Amino acid sequence: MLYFIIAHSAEAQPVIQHFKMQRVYKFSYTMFEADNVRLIICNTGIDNAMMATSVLLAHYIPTSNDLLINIGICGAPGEIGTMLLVHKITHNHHSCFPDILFKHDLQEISLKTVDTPCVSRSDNAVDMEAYGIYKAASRFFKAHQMVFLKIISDNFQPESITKEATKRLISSKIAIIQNTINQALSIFNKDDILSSQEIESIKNIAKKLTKAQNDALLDACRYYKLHYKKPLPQIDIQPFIAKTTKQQRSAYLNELIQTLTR
Amino acid sequence: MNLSKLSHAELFSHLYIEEEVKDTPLAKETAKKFSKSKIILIKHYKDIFNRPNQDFGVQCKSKNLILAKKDAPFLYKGSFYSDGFEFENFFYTPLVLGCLYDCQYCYLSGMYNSANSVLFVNTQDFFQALSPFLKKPTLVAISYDTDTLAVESLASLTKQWIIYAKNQPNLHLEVRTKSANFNAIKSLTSSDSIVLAWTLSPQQIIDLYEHKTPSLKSRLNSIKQAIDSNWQVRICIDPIIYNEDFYSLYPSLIDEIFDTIDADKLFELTLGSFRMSSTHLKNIKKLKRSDLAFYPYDVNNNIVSYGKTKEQHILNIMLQKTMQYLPKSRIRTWQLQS
Ligand code: SF4
Repeated sequence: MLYFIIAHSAEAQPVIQHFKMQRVYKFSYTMFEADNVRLIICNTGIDNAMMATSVLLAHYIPTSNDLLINIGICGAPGEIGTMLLVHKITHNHHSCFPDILFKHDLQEISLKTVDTPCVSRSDNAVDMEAYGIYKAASRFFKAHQMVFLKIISDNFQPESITKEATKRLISSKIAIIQNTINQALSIFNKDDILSSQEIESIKNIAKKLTKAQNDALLDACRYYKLHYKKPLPQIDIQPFIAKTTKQQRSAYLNELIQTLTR
Repeated sequence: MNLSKLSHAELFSHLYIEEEVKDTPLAKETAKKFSKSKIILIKHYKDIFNRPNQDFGVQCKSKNLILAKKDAPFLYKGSFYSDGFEFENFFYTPLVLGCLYDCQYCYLSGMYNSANSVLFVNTQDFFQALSPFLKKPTLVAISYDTDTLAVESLASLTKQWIIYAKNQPNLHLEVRTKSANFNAIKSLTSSDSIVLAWTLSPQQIIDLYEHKTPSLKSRLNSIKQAIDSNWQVRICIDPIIYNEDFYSLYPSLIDEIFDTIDADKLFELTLGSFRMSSTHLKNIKKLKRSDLAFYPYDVNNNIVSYGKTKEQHILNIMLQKTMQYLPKSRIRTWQLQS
C-alpha cells in the first residue's frame, strides 16, 4: 500500500490522476483511494501535517510492505522544476533522517521545515510539513519506508506560485515519482518466510498447542523453508487430534520439530 | 566486505559526519575517498545509529558510514561468551560500532538497531583511557564488535594500535578478522604480544552465512603471509555451525588449513561451537533472513547453544581432527569439558 501525504490539492491532483484515485469520505480530511493507494490532503503547516498523518495511519496501521510518500513543492536555491529527494529534515534544532537505501539519480538535500512561509534566501530547501509528517509517521514506518520528494517551485518568492503552475510542476515529474516509488519498494524485504496458506495450515494445529509450542513449531517451519529452500511439506494435523494427553502431543511436536530441522 | 575488491564509490552511499569532527583530518580524508557519497552533517552519531525505526535487514543492502567522536567509556570488560585467554585485565574497545561484513549469525544484528558502522576518530582518547591499566598484563581485543582490519583502508586503526602496543610491555592485543587484508599491516614488524586471529569457516558456510566476507582461500593466503612475516597467528574456527554437512565440511576444513599453513608456525587454533545470548537471537529472528535464527537450540542461563551433548560431540570431533596436525596444548576449546 502507498500512503501519500500531500499538503495541497493542487500538488495532489496530478498524483490522484496518475493512480486513478477516487474521493472517499472517511475522516474530516480530503482523502482519495485506489487499489493499494491512499492519499490525504493535510493542509499547510507542521501541526496539520502531523495531525492528518496520525489520523490516517492510526486508522489503517501500515505494514512493513507499505511506503509513505510526501510530495510537494518547496522553495530552494536552484533551478525551478528540479526534483529533490530529502535525506535530512530539520525543524528548529531537531533533525530526522529518512533512510535512502535505494539507487536513484535525484539530487539529495537537507530540508528545513519552517513555521511561516520563507521569503528570505536560505541555503536549504524549505517546506512547511515534512518534519511533522516524519514525526507522526515514524511511529508506523521504518526510516526506509518514508520518501520525501520536493520540487523546486521558487527561489524564496512564495507569492509567485500559482495553483496551475504547481499542478504543471508535479505533472511534469510524475514518471520520476513513479520510478522513485518503484526503486524504494524494490529493496524491501519479504514480510514473512511462511506464506499465508502455510501460516493458515499451522493455525489449525496451533489450537492444540500452547503459545510456546506454537512458536517453536513456527520457528521450525521457518528453519525448514530457509534451510532447504523448498515449500513446507504438508503437516498432518491428525496426530495432534488423535493424541489426547498433553505429554503425547508434546512428544509428537518434538518429533515433528526434529524432522523439520534435521 | 572485501574492501579491496569494491571501489569506494560502491561502499557507502551516505556519509554521516558529526559536526564536531567534520574538520578532522580523518573526516576530510574519508570524504575525499568517498567523493560520490552524500555527506550529511549530524549532531551526534546516536541520532543516526540509535534511531528506533531502522530496519537492520534492509540496511544491510546499503550500509552507510558514520564518523564520530567517542565519549567515555572507551573500554569494556570482556564478555562471558568469549575467551579471555586468562588475562586478569581483559577489555575490548569499541573503535568501530557495527561491521561492514554481514554474517548471518552475528550477534551485532541482534544487538544494534542499525547495520551502519560508526568509526570513531579520536583514537588517542582510547589510548589514554587504557594507560592506567597497563601496570598489569592486559589483553585488549581491538576487533571485538567489528572487524577492524576490514576497515583498515579507512582509518588505519589496527596499525595505530600495533604501533602503540610496541611501547607498552604489558599490553597484549588480539586483532580478530575475517578479512584478507594482511597487506595493510605488512610493513609493521611482528610482536610477541600481538596475536592476529583469523576466523575461518568452510567455503560452503562462508557462502551461506558470512556475506560480503573474503573467501576461505584468500583468508588462508593472508594468514600464510602473516606467518611468513613471523606474526603470531591464531586460527579461530568459531562459531562452528552444525548442519547435515558438518561431518564433511569441518574436518576437511582442518585439512585445507594445514595444506596451506605450516602447523609448526601456527601460534594456536581455537574451536568454538555456535552460542549466543537468547535476547540477541530473539532480535535476529525478527529479521527473518537466516535459518540459523530458527534452529531449535537449547537455552540455558539466557544462552542458546546446540546443547551440551551436541556441543561436546562437535568439539570432540574437531579436536580429534585438529590433533592430527597440532599438539593438544596449542588447541583451545574452552567450551569443551574434560
Ligand atoms: S565479521 Fe564478525 S563482527 Fe563482522 S559481521 Fe561477521 S561476525 Fe559480525
